[in-house]
Amino acid sequence: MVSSPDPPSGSNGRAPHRGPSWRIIVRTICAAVALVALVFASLQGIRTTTHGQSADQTRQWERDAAYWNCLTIQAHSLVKPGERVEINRGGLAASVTLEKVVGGWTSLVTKAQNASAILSLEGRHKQGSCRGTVVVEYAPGSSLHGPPERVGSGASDGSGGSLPSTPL
Amino acid sequence: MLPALAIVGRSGATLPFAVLIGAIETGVAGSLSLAVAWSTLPWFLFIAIASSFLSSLVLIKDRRRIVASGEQRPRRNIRDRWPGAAAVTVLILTLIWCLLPLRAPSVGWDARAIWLLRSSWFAGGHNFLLASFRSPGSIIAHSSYPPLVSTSVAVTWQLTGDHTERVGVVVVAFLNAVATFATAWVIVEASRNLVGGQRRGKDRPLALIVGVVGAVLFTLATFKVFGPFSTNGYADPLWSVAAVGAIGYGLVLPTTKRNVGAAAILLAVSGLTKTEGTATAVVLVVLITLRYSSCASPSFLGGSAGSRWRWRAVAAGATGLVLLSVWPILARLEHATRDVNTSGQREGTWDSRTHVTVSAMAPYLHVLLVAAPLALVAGVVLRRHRERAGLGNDLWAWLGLLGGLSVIGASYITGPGNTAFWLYTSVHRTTMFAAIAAWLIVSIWAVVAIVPSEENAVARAPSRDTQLAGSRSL
Repeated sequence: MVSSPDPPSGSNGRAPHRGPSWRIIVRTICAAVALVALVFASLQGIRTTTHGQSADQTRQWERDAAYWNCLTIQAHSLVKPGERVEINRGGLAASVTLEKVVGGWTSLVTKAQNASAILSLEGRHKQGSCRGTVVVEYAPGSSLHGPPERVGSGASDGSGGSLPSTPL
Repeated sequence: MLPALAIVGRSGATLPFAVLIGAIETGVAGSLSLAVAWSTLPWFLFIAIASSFLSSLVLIKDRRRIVASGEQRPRRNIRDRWPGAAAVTVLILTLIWCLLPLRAPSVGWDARAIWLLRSSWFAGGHNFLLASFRSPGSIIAHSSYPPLVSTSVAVTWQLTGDHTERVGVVVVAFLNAVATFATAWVIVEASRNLVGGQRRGKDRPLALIVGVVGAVLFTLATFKVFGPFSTNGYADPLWSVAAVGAIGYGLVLPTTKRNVGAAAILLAVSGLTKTEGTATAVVLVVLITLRYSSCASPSFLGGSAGSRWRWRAVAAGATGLVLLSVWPILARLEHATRDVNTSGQREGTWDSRTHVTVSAMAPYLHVLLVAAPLALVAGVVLRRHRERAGLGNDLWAWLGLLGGLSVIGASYITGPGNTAFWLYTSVHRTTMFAAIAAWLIVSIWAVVAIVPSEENAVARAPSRDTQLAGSRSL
């Protein structure tokens, strides 16, 4: 940044060159166009910001936070931090959800890398689920067709209401 | 704070630059944690202490040079300081208002899948970090993405002991706001340059008011471009606005050591935040190097001095390019898992991919329909006003905008996979840079059109910050 120390006092004795009148008109038009565009965009920005802090948005995101917190607590009840975990790739959505839940604190491995546990998500519309989903654990090498070895516990989220749409 | 003082000096944007330097230091610390040993926090503390020590040496040397040369430092009283303080306050209040959506605990898709997930890796120590980076079991974490956002969150988690996604999102939103402040300050500086940097004078209040209003409007327009991604933990706003800031300091404001230092900080932020930011930063480094190497005319500095300076500028640019390539090379050496977006079978022809890419980008770049004609007309009518203030030719900013946009467009066209899906999931974020750059161009022209410029404004603003360009505007 250019620092701006004291200039020599007074002007240099000459009036600033203002140019012909058409220049002033064009200059004014340029300023007006730029300002109108900026103000228009700013108003849209204000609308976006106001929408983002609405009570409805806040409630939806609180529900979203509660859902992910519920899944995380259930996963923690099944595997320890740092454990070698394989995620059941049965469905892309479930795989992605589980990776978000445990990817930061477990070592995700593939089938060939000797996992100590296989995690999966199952639909279960009972108490103890996170919005109808539970985290379950299968023994390594199991076929995943039978009942799971253990079911996640410690948290449930049976709240109603929709979750927010999460833009990609 | 000391590195910021040594690089950009004292100004309204010194504190934001100090924060951004801290974020860069966490990125370097995270890289060392991955490459060598330890967790990110000890490396960060070591780097912060070392950089503060080196900066204090630079500041002391600078002070001694001033004393030895007998140069009088301008005395600044409260009357001189309050307009600048008021400008900073107005801009801070605007940014606080823009961050109010943080009241909703939103965590975006990518934030949870990539940025905050990787923060846990960086907070987990060398072995866990390395294993996670190489893990083929991880399909969404984009291991090879640059580290800055994740390492900033990781260091905050380690310092506060509060390892929550909420804290992570707040840290990222704070960085977005800080980078936006630093970029918006370009408009305030440009308006000050138009009145010759005068501290008192009839045009000074008008220039400051126009500069601050321009900066506030630019900030609000920028947050309109960010949309919900400003406060949900995404990295795109940060790299985009930092790259635009680099255009402002490196290609718009006068060619000075402090301005190029500020541009370097913002380029480092952009390059260490996301792959698109790295590619855009490379383009901007080349442009800034060209501008600075061409501004030191032999006639101004003398034949050998001009030639020497040109080589220094080229050497600095080359160093910047090498530093920007460190993370991609490190990620490859450490066998980071490849991104799903940048791997796989290529689909479609050149023509079809180009058509899809242009069609997908266009709806997010309507601002160019205002910025381009405005720049054309103003470039003809107001060129001399701009030159008198020492501001760079607007073509430099356009080259920066189009260069960054071209790199991103070329990635979609030449890259692997299905372009349509790739664009659907990302184009609204990858075009943020070009849109914000266009708003900066519009804001600068608004200021140039409104503030009456003084003749020989640059010559009237003697500065301790070496003016490299002389009175010639480039």
